[in-house]
Amino acid sequence: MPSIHCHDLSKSYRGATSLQNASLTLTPGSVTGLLGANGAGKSTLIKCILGLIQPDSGSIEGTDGASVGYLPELANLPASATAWQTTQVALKLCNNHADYTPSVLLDLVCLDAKHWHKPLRHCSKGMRQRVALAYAIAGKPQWLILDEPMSGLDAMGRKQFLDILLDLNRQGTGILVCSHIVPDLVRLCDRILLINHGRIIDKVDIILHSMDEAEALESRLMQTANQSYE
Amino acid sequence: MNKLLTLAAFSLREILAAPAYRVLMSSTIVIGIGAMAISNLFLLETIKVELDFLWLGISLLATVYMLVVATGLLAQDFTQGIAYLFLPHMSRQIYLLARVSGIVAGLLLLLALMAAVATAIVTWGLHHTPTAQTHGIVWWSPVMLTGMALLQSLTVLSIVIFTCSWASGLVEMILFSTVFTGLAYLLPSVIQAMTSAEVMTQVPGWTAMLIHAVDYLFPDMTGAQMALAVVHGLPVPSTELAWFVVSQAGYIMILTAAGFLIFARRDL
Repeated sequence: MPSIHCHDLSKSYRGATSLQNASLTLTPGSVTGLLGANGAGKSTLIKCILGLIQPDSGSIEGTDGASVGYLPELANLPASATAWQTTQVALKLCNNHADYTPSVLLDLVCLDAKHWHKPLRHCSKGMRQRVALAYAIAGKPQWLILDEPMSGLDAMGRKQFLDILLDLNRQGTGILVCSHIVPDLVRLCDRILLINHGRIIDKVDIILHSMDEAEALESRLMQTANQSYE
Repeated sequence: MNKLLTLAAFSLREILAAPAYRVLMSSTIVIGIGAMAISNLFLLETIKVELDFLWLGISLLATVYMLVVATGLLAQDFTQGIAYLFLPHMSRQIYLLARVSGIVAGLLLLLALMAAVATAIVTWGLHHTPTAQTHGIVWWSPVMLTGMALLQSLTVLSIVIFTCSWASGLVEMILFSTVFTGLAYLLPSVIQAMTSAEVMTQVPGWTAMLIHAVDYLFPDMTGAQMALAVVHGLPVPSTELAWFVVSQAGYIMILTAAGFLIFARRDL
């Protein structure tokens, strides 16, 4: 599995710069976090890597032929479909019947069986988030790209989500995740990139996955935010 | 191919479960009953009135399906991020083709039900109408009308695909699709009047060119004229029918291809 290399990605929307010469390398099996304020360019960077947005300049290598699972920030799913049907269609689209069945997948994301056959419009945001994660991992992807995966989840849900992601990573899945929740990122990631006004301003290696590292990173983030306000 | 069929079947299932689609399915019965009730208000030529009402109903049903159900599905995909779920697994072209296939399958089911209801009503009406008053209308006239409505609604679908390929919001997509479709229905008669020989001799050359350009920009929805012939039991000239089918098919292909090309390049 090759690494994913992004070189000098830039993107503007109607004159407003969203991404500015952003470069990063994602090595196989690593967990990389993107941390930044709202509108810093995290989602734009992710969408560029996924090919959902065409960058104005720069290049991306290593995504051709790579299997990628994506959990978008707004994990909207077809409202009339059930969790079972959604995961079933994901398995068919990934052609992955060997590793998973819908029940295995839904068990894996800790969705209670009583919700499996309910239309998703009757499910809570947290439940839909789990179904969206099940959908993203259905193909046992080499890369998992997650945009604010923990938003809207309660404390227990966040813990379960983190455990699932760590487990997937142990099985070799490379992860790129963006989040506002610093302790979650520190627990999950090997490396965190700080992004501000579309620029990657710092790269922090996470060694101990400790609260001290989370606090240091949080103060670094606040410092960056204050500098940009000034 | 497998992915295309899987997503098309999933799209059809979504459409079948949509409340708006169920309302349209029920409307086929309402249209049938309405046609019978309205025709009963007339003493003569009741079968013509019945068929006229059915044509109106079929056209409206197919157009509303495209503007509400089809536009709703695509707009929801593009604006609410549902497309993000499918795009990592397939190319944008396959994704859009699968969604459109599901939409067309939903349309075919709706029109098949409408054709069955209309055929039953017309057959029953013909059974109770003296032969002298049937005016050449036959039991399969509603099927022919449904075929015309199918072609027209595929034209509307191409308008919807084209609009959704570049518009950015749900309201924008529905509004532009509706306005474009409305103009496509209204403009031909206006342009026909404007391009008459009398008018053309009076206007400057550039105005005439502009009028012709507008004429080419919008699809030919004059299938209604042929539908009128069917309703009145008149023979439909085969050359006119062939030209209508060819021009509609050409328009559908060009607009759909443009929509696919734009969609392949747009930011999502």
